[in-house]
Amino acid sequence: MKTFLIQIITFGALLGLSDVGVFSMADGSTDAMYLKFSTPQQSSLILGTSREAQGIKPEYLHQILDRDDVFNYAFQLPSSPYGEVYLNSISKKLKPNSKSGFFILDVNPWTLSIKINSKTRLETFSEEDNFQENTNFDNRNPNIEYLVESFVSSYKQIIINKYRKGNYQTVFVEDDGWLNITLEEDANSREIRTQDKILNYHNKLKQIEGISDYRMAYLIKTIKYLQGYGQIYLVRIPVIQDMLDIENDLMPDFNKQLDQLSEAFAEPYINMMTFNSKYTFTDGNQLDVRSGQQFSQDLANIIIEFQE
Amino acid sequence: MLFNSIDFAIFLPIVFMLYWVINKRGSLTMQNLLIVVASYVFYGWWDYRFLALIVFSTLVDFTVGQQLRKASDSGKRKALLWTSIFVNIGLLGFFKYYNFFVDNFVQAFSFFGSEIQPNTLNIILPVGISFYTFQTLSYTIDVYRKKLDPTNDIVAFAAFVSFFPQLVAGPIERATNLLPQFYKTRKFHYSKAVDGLRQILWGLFKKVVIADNCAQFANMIFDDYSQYSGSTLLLGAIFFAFQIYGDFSGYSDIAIGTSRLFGFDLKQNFAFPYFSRDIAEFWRRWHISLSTWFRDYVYIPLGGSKGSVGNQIRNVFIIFIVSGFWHGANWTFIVWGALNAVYFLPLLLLQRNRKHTNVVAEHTMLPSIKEGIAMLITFLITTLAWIFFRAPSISDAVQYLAGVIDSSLVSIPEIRPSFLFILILLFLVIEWAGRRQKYALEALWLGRPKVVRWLAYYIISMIIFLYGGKAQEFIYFQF
Repeated sequence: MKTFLIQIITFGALLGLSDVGVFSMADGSTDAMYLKFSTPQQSSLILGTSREAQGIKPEYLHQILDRDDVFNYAFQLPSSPYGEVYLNSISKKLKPNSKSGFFILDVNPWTLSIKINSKTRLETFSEEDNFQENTNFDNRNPNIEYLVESFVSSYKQIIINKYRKGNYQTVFVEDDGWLNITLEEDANSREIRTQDKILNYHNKLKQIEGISDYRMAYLIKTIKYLQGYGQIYLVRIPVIQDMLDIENDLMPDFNKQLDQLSEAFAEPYINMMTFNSKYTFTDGNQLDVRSGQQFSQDLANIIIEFQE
Repeated sequence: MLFNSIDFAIFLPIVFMLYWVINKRGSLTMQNLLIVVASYVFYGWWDYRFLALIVFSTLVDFTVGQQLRKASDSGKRKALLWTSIFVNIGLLGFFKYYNFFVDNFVQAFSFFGSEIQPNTLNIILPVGISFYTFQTLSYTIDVYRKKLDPTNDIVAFAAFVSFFPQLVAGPIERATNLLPQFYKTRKFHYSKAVDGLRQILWGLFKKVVIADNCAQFANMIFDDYSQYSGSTLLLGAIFFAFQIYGDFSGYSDIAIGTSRLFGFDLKQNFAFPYFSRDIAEFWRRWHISLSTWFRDYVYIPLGGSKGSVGNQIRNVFIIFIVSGFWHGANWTFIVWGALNAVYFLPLLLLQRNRKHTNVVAEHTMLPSIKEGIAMLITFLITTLAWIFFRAPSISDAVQYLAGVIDSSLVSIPEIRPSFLFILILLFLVIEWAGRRQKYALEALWLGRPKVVRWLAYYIISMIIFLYGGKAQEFIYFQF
C-alpha cells in the first residue's frame, strides 16, 4: 500500500505541476474574459457590454484624464446586462477601500431589457449560472477556478491561442482589459457583418419586452453602490443609424429616462450617439479599433469638461 | 456524481483511504457499510430523493430472497419471483415508459378518430434505474433457479445493489459473480490497484478525449443535418459511433478500474466491438453484461436458437427489440433493435453466427484483407444503425439516411476536424495493439522499463488534460 501511495502521489504531483504549468500560460489571448478575472482588484472600472469592451481603451483615457487606474471590466450583452450577477461581480473586482475611483457605465436599451417571459432572475436570464457567477475569486493569476469552471474550450487552446494572437479572427484582451478583436477590414466583409448584425437585432427585438423594472432597479443599485467609490459617468456609445432605429423601436423614450436618472443621482449622462457618423464600426454595433481609440479620446475630453 | 468531475476526483481518494483503513481493522461489515454509505452519497449527489427507490428495491429483493429460502412449494416460489419482477419492472416501467405508453395510446385512438386527453406526468427518470433493477432482478431469478443461495447479510446485499462504481451505468453485474465478493474480506493488492488505475486512465481517455470531442461534431451535424452533404452526414454518424463507444466503454473501464481499487473484479463489458467481423461477433463484444443478461433471462427461456425456424426468428426479434426498448422510451430505439435483428438473422439461419469467436488477427500484427473488409462492413452497417439510435425521431433518422445515400456522398465533407482524426487514429492504433487483452492498456507496455511506462501514462494523461472536449454527461445515464 505504501509503495502504491508514494507512486500515485508522485505521479499525481508531476501531472498537477504540468497542469499548473499550462494554466500559467493563460493570458489575454485565452478568451475574451480570462484576463479580467486574473488581474488585481481595481479602483476604476469601465462597465457594460461588448460595445465598451471593444470601444473604450483605458490607455487613451489615462493620457487625457491623467490617471493610470482605469480597467475595462465590460463583457458581452448576454453575460453583463445590469443585474444581480454583474453587480456581484463588480463588487468582487473593486478594491475595497478606494474612494477616488472613476466609473463609466454603458447605458443602452439592450442592457436594460429582458426577454419576454423572463420574469425573475432565477428563471431564464441570460447571465444566469455564467462565468461571473461561477468565479468567486476575480484576482488570481493563474485563475484556476475560472479555467476549471468557466473556460469552455479544451486546454490546448490556451497554448494555441497564445501563438495565434494577432492573426485573423483572434481575440486578445490587453492588460488594461480592452478587448482587441482582429477581423477582416475590407468593405465587403464589414458590410456582410453589418447586415448580419442588423438582421440579428431585428430578430432580437421581437423577443424583448420594453424596459425591465428589474434591470433598471439594478442599474440604480449599481450607481448607488459605485457612488461610494468615486465619480460615475453614464455613457451611451454610438452605433450606426440602422441599429439606433431598432433601439428607438425598443425604447423610444430612452434618453428621456436616462436624463431623469442622471438628474436624480447627480451623475452625468453622456449621450455619444449624436456623434455616430464620426466613427466606423466592425459590424454596425461595435466600434472598430481605430474608432475605438478616437472615441476613447473624445469621451475623455468630454469628461474633462464635466470635471472642470 | 460524474466520473469525469472534480467532485469524483475528491470523493474517490477519500473513500479509498477510509476503505483500506477500515480493512486494516479487519471488519468486513464495516467495509461493506462504508461502500453502502459511499454509494448512497455518490448517487444522492445527483438527486437524493431517488435513493428511496434504491433502498426500496434492495429491501424487496432481499426479503424475496429470504422468503424463497423458506418456500418449497413451487407455486409460492413462483409468486415470490413474480413479486420481484412486478416491483422492479413496475418501477422501471413507471419512471421510464409511462409517458411513452400514454402518448402512443392517445395517438392510436386519435388515428381511429377518438380524441382523448393525454394524462402524461412530468416524470424525472432516475439515473441508473435500468441498471440496478436488472442487477437486483438477476439476484432473485438466480435464487429462484437455485443457482445462488439467498443472502442473510443485508449490508452485503445493499452494497451489491448500490455498489457506486457500476451503479448508474453498469456493467450490470450478476449476483453470482459480485455478491459473493462482498462476503470475503478484500485485501489490497498492489498489482490489482495499479491495473485498476491503468483501466481508469484508459476509460478517461475514451470518454474525455474521444467521446466528448466526437460529441461536439456529431451534435453539430445531427442537429442541422439538412444543411450537410452525404459525406458529412456519414462522417457525423461515424463520429457518433466513436462517441457512443468511447462514452459507454469508457464509463465501463472507469467502473471496472475503480472496483479493482477496492479489491473487486467486475465482468468485462466491451471487447473491442469495432474490430468485429460480423454482427454476431459485434453483439458478443458490445455491452456484454446487458446482452448476456437478456440471453440468460429472456432469450434462452424463450427457446433461444432451438426449435422451429419461425420460433428462432421470433426469439431474435424479441431479444433485439426488447434490448432496443431498454435503451429508451422512443420508437427510434425499437427500430434500432429491429434493424440489428435484421442484420443478425441471416447469420443465425445460416448457422454462421458463431463463426468468429476468437480475436481478429490473433497471431498476426495486421488483419488479412478479407478480415479488414469484414470489419469495415460490420462497422459501416453498425454505424448506419446508430443513426436511428441518435436521431430524435424515426422521420429524422430516415431523412438523415436519405441524406447519406446521395450523390454528395462522394464529395469532400464540409467538416474536417484534423485534430480529431489524429486522435481517433491514435485511439484505434492503441486499441488494436491491445485487442487481445480485457482493455487496451492492460498489458501494452508491461514488458518495458518503468520509466517508459510512466512516460506513456504521463503522455496519455496530458492528452486527456489538453484535448478534453467540452464535458458531456455520459450517454447511458439517460438509460
